[in-house]
Amino acid sequence: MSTEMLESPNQATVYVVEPEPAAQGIRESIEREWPTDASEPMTVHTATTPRLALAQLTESPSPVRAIVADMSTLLREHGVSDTANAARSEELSAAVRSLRNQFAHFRESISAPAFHMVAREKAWEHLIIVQTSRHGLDETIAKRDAMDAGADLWLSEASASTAALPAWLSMKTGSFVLKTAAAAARRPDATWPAPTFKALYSPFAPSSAEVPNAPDPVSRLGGAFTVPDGMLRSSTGRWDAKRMAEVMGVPLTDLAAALDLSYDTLKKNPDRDGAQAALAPVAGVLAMAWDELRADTDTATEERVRQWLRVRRPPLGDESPLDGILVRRQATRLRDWLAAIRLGEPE
Amino acid sequence: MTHATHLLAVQYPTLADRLHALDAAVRHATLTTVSGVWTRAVVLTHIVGAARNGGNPRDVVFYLDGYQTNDGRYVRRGLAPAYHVADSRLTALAEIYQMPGAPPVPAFSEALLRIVVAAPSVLDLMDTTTLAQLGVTPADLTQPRGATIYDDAAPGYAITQAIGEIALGAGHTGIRYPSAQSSGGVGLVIFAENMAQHGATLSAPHPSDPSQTVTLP
Repeated sequence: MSTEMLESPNQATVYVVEPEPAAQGIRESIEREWPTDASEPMTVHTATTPRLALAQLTESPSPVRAIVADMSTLLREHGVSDTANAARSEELSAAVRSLRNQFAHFRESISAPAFHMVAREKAWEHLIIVQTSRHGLDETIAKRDAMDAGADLWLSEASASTAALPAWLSMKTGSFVLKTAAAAARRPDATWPAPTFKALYSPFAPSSAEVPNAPDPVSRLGGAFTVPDGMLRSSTGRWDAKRMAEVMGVPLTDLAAALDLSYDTLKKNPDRDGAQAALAPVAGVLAMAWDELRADTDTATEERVRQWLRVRRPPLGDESPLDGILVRRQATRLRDWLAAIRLGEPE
Repeated sequence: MTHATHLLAVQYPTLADRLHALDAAVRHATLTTVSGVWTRAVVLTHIVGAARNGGNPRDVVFYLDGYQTNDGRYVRRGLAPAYHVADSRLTALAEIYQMPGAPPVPAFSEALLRIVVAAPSVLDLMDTTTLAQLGVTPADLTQPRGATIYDDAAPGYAITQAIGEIALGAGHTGIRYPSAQSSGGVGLVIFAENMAQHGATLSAPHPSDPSQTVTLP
């Protein structure tokens, strides 16, 4: 073990504590996203419980950089069998604390001198990453408690983790991101920089290679922001009023009236140039909702967006987002409010 | 009286006397030095996006700055760049949930950043003597916004935004204040444009190499 450590001290290892098949998906995602020219090759192991992962750590020939654990798994490890009905977020806190303590204990107790040497040199941080799956916890409270208990990172859904986790790990584990970022951003299939983001705030589709360098406030919303090509746009790349009305579940005539556009003209030409500026804020609202409510299929996601649009919210005066667009005609305010939340602007 | 105070007094006539009184009081308040480790919760996509784009240190400014698209309690929309940190992980998370109650969208993936602050000349609203000098109470500082997102006026923010704007104009480095979102929590807002004159600094992890730090300004 120590020989291998000394020969390849830059090998990084991640343990994914997840039941299959979720673990397999995360493992594949990390391996796929890990830069091939990275100075630190990545090995991903899986374990069904944190305890098993920790037990394996002592066998690891390489530095362990992170444990990725699902909340339900953590709760079960902590003795909560009915995780679907576990509304007791303090138990999640305790589970995260327990995992962190075990991890810290592992670092102190491991006997391989090379491990300590490399760890000190590289100022390692062992990450505790908690993610959600379907369970009965209030997500907002659970996130707060998990992070307060010592989790370093919260991933809201498995779909988010598949995109965000490899990049986060890349960032946390070395400077090679600097070397590879430019190339990665230019990869045709790269999810960063998000080609759809800037598009939300401009009438026409931008070049997918554009990276906002000194962005305006709203365009700071970079990152993984993906909306299917045909959801809101026509084949020309313009916002399509007819398609947007379908996603909203409202007649085109209502959308036209709210945006002060001619229904007859929109009906004939739903992506006309003259409508683009008015449609853009609505597209922004729909795209942000879409991005956060993504489900297994586009159809399911569209249904979620329609439901979300109809839920009354206190900050909106106990009205729904749909009221904000159609009745108040305040799509821009609504879009900026969602953008601020997404940006993490403080209260 | 500053132009800002005047405008706020016109907007909120019932608060005019209090706003006028704040003007001199904030300017001449006893200031304090704030230093140590603070926390900021950042939506993960910002960090990941910054790392993917090459890790430009300027990105730190983008994701620590706030109030560009919505009003903040102490800094109205678009007033000036202002960095926002909190005294604990819990407060940091609570502060960026802008609206209490059910989140408008599902919870985001977020990371907590360790921010090292060294800031002299800070207006300390946690200090009861300072509050007495200003003629405000803790309740004045933690009122609900009092308006929907569609309203330009936010009565609950009138006093605090006046304090913020006067403090900024007076050249104070920032404001330490009780968190309205997390009971017992403390927040700190630093005005970017006033940092240099007081030698204030704020260090955050580099966007793509957390073993390095980016120091502002």
